[in-house]
Amino acid sequence: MNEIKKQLMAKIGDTSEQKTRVIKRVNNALDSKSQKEKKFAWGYYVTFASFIGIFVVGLLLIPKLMNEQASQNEDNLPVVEPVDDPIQEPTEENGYYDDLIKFFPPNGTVATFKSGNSYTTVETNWLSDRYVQETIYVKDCVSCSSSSTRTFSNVFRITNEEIQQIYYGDPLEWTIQKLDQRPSLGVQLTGPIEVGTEIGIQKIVAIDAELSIDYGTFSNVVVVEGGAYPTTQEIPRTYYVPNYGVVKGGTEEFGYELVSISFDNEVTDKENDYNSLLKSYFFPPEDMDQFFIGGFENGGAKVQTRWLSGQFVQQISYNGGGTIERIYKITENQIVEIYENMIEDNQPSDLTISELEQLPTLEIVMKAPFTIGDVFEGWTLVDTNGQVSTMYGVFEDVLIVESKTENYLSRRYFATGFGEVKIESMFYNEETGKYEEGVTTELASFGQIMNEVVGNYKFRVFEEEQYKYNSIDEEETSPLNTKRAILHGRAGDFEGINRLVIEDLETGKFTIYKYRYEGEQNTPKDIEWIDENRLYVIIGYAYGTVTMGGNLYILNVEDHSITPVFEDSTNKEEIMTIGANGDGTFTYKKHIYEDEEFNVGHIEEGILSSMD
Amino acid sequence: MNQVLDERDFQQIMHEHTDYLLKLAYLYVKDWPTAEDIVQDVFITFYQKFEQFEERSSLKTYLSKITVNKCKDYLKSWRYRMHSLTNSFSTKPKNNRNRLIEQDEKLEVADAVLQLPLKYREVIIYYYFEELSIIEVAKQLDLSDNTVKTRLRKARILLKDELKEEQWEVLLHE
Repeated sequence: MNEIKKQLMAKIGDTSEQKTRVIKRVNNALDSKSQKEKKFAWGYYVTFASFIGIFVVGLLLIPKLMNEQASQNEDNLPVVEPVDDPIQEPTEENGYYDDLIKFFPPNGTVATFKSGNSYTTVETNWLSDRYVQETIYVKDCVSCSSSSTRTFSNVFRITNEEIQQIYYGDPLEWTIQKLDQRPSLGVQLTGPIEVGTEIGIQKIVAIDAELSIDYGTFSNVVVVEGGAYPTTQEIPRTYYVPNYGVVKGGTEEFGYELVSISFDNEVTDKENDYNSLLKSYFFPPEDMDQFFIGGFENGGAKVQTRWLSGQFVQQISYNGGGTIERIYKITENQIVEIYENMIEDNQPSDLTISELEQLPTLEIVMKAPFTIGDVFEGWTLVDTNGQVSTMYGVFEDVLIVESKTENYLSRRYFATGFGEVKIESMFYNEETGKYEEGVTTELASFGQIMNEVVGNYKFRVFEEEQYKYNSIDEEETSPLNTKRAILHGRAGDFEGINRLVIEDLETGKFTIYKYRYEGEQNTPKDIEWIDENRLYVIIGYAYGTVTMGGNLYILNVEDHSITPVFEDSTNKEEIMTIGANGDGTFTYKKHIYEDEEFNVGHIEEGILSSMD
Repeated sequence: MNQVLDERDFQQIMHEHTDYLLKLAYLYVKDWPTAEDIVQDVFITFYQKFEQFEERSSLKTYLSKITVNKCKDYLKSWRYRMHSLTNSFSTKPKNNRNRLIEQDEKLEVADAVLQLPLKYREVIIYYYFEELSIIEVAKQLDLSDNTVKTRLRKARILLKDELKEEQWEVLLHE
């Protein structure tokens, strides 16, 4: 088998689960004799060239849009390819109408474009099946409030042959009669949609092209080229995607591209409850500890959230560098920070609600409604519907804010139900001309708040009066029955992360050991008591079939110190098991890989004395 | 419903071809739920339009062709737009790689292939994964064999850019 096939097969893996599902569903579908409905909804139309209107007709009225400094790099050049396509014959009924309406999105679509540092939002409304109106909001400065946006509107008529612009100006109320009477101000697009079709001085130069922009990758792009900007030699192009609309346009020097699009007015539906909206994006709904990997010197971080009341929430951030307590107040439409203090000895503040109510605002963290382009204390909202991947999982519907200087770019991601889930900081590399990753902090796990005490370099340690565990991998009582050690978490499959829990059978208290560096995905796998205060623990990689065990340590459950047993084992040697012989000695099994591919190995045994 | 296709035969056909069609669909759409949907669709279509299968080519070729067409339809549709953003964020493998062999991980070629733009990925799929000849690839894709050769060449160049030296050596010998 050739290497490519081999790798692709390995990458795809076993498909029997999917196969079973497919066959079952096919049989169900045929049994119920229902034709499976085609899921591809062609009811979406595409917005088009309102910007052709802006740039050509309105050029003099919006100078600032054109004067942004070049922000695009070469990577944005699309792959434009002429493709042989059958000529689209006009149908008898309505000519090219069916194709032309695809260039506007459905009623209510809101699309936001970015040009340099300013943002333009286009809202599409269908006035009838032949008339469509675009309402355009231009923010010509990043920190403008919404009252200083310019608003104007374009109206288009779609005939059987072409799309005509019939109005440009302040948004007005229209009747069909009035619209019918308006003459064409200019033709935006003419059928047939094929390479070579001319529209005035412009021309379709590609259909089915592929285009990658920050928003995403499209593979059905129609490209129109031609015309001229008065300030540049470059020929402008417009890229639009059937079912989306314009996604990019202008020239490389003065251009704009789509940054977000919402087809069903998600954000405005939440108009009624900004308070809940803000809460859900910025804080978890319940008190909890959230654990992060990465961060400064890769030390990870913990954020503890406590709701002091419905409107006041406290967050304590531990990041190895220090512990900071912050308290926020959530009003009808804002989140404000009212308290911030470094905690030295883990004693957070203890203010009453009436005291909290009297604290002044230190800083406005966020306001609703959210609009892309809003700025808060140096952070710009760049996305309201983004996606982000973290160790814990992939989040959708994410708010993304950005802070950018010449040398430094920082981005924060907020997901509903979780709050901040990722922070990226990047440094500008002059050689490559790009921002490159510096430090990233992302969510790894979370759980109920537990009382953390000083741990060791392998484990975070928590002490609790109560602790619930469902699945037990292994349970062992100490020699004199004063304590019980429990490994819980993996249960059933042999993959996954455990916590080591020590139950003091005399006091009833629990001590929980959680592996500190979650990014490494190591887990305690096996335990064996030495005496009432110490046990052997094997800690190894949690996943996969190559690992046979891990490294062996002695953990002291009184002072939580941990010591490796073998100082100089290689990554080919792993301790598989350890067992007490009853006489103070312990037998361990060690697996040793002999080859570089970790395919062949053998097992050795050894004896340890607890005196070592 | 047609009487020509025996129920048992149909189950047998599904049993034989599902795995293969799933893999093929996945290589196009890069998303399992979608791949499953598409393969389901293929069998339902096949069942209902059985008379149209003229047996000019093998059943496998026929089903493959339907599958690929449906994949391409999907890739052109708006659903794909929503998904392509997800794909670009979740390419980090999380829990299913064994760290001990991660440094020696040899699936970079597969990763690079999956990242190729569709028209290059397609020829790689047909030529290497389905192991068809140039002429067969040309027939499947309705292209001239010169076009296929050109695209393969270009695909290899794109892969070479993505892969490190030793991995590229491997491909040269294919």
